[in-house]
Amino acid sequence: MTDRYVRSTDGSDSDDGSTWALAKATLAGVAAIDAAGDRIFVSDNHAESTASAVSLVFAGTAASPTQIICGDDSAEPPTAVSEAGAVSSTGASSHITFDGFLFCHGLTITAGATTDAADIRLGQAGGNQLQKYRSCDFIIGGSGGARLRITNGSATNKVELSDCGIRFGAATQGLVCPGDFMWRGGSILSGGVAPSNLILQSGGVTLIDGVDLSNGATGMNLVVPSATAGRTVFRNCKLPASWSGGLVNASPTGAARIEMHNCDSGDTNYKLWVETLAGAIKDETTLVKTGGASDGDTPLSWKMATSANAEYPLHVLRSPEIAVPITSVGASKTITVDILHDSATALKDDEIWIEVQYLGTSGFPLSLFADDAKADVLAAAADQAASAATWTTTGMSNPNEQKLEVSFTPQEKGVALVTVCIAKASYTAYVDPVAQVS
Amino acid sequence: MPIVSSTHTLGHAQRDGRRYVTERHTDHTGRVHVREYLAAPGVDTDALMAAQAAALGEQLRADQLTQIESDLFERGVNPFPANNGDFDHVTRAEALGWLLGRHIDDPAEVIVKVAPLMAAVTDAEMLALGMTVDQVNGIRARVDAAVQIKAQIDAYNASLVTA
Repeated sequence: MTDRYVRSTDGSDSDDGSTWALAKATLAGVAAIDAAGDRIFVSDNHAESTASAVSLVFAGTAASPTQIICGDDSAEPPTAVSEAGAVSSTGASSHITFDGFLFCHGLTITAGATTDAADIRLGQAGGNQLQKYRSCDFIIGGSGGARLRITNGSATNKVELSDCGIRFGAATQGLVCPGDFMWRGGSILSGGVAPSNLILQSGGVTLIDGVDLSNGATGMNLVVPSATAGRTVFRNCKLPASWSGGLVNASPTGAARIEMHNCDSGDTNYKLWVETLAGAIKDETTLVKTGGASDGDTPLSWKMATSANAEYPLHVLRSPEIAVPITSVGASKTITVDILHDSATALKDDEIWIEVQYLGTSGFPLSLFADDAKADVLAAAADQAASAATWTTTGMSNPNEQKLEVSFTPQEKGVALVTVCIAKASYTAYVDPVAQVS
Repeated sequence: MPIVSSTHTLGHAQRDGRRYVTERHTDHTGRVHVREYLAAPGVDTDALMAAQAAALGEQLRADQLTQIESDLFERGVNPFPANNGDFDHVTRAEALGWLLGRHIDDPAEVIVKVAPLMAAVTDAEMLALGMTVDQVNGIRARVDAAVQIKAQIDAYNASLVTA
């Protein structure tokens, strides 16, 4: 492992980069000589600009990743990190690409100027790359065709942004992340152009936690599902003021599952939104069970609305899991979930049911599964049981209260996971997301 | 604009007064794009629907251009419609103009990938995009030169193999 130094103010790519005095002038200069495991210190006075594409392939490997650290250049090596280092490009197609297993702290990466169509590409090549960026900012040039492409080269790559900011230059720009992508903390930066859609393509697992998205457009949609597979989850994010965007800009058409948990532009803590091919799930605060789920102040339920694609047994709208602590074993338990829908006709057990995953193997954490769906695909369907629960049924013509019940005998203490499933097409049911155990 | 019709319906009021709004936008291919959002009291849902239709149309166009570029330059897949027709949300001339804007200064072996699209677009279509006659002629000459260079490279590589 070697420490290498980069400083644009007085460096030269002809030097060996072994000290600040012999610093390289550009990241490309140091990427040409680095070895796996090296630490590359970028001066807090570094501000390189290239009038063409910048392709940086670092030698880091899974066992020995590269570290690119912006730091105070008054010490060698630096003893304090900085967020003042800058790498930029200008010109059409002046893409900036980072490849290799690496950790990067404190760079501002700017691709393209006002009208340039220049991407920032992280993990462009294959090779199951893992990259993490902390306290970095990514600024995309002004052309509508430019993108922040993350794991674009391979769906097996994984990139994490921690406390990073992103600024867009045109409303049609956004994120493209076919691999695994995590954005934890940070924000959409002000000063740019608010994007109309945030995630234009995703593939693997995309997790966006605690990100301030409020500089997005008021009508910003979070995901374009037409180019999305895998699972995309937003948690605990701040949305634009008076947000009128959608979780998706159109209904999903493929295998994607897009979720949003506790994200809002206002002071709430119960928001839920799920979009899949089989339908959508949203929080509901009017049609609620008396004495049912609540955040402490606001009674709530889950509105599960299937699309025309829903169909038993494959295209099933599945709720988020409801975790139920199991503290005693050996005796049968019954889990009950109350539902409400607007029809004089009861829902049957091939239209709505619950599935329970429980620890049913003594001596091992091997789960078993129980449900109250019909016995098998050829069995006759039967009505789900009626419920005596009381609901607010404002606006309903034929409010119909039913319950879903499963009995099982746990053999190990732990957590049972309950999922509500709906397969009746183009139908809406309200679910009290409290799994009652008896 | 690829969106030809839009409708919306309002759900019942939530406890905080907001309502879920369901928009249905139909594009010129007949596909219906359904979008839902939560509207605050007093929001002009008609205006939002119109704005979303415009944004959706632009996004469809931008997505298609990006996909064409990715297919052509990164995946090696032929994205061109059969019979030299237009794409769903952009004309072949628009696609060519956009690709040239991004790649005309690239090396010959990259530009040559645009050649099939060049052959499918007339000079009149390129002039309609705002190009001058000199620009059109210059672009065709550059692409033709790139095709010739690629042919020479391929022939040389083939000679290495046989040798």
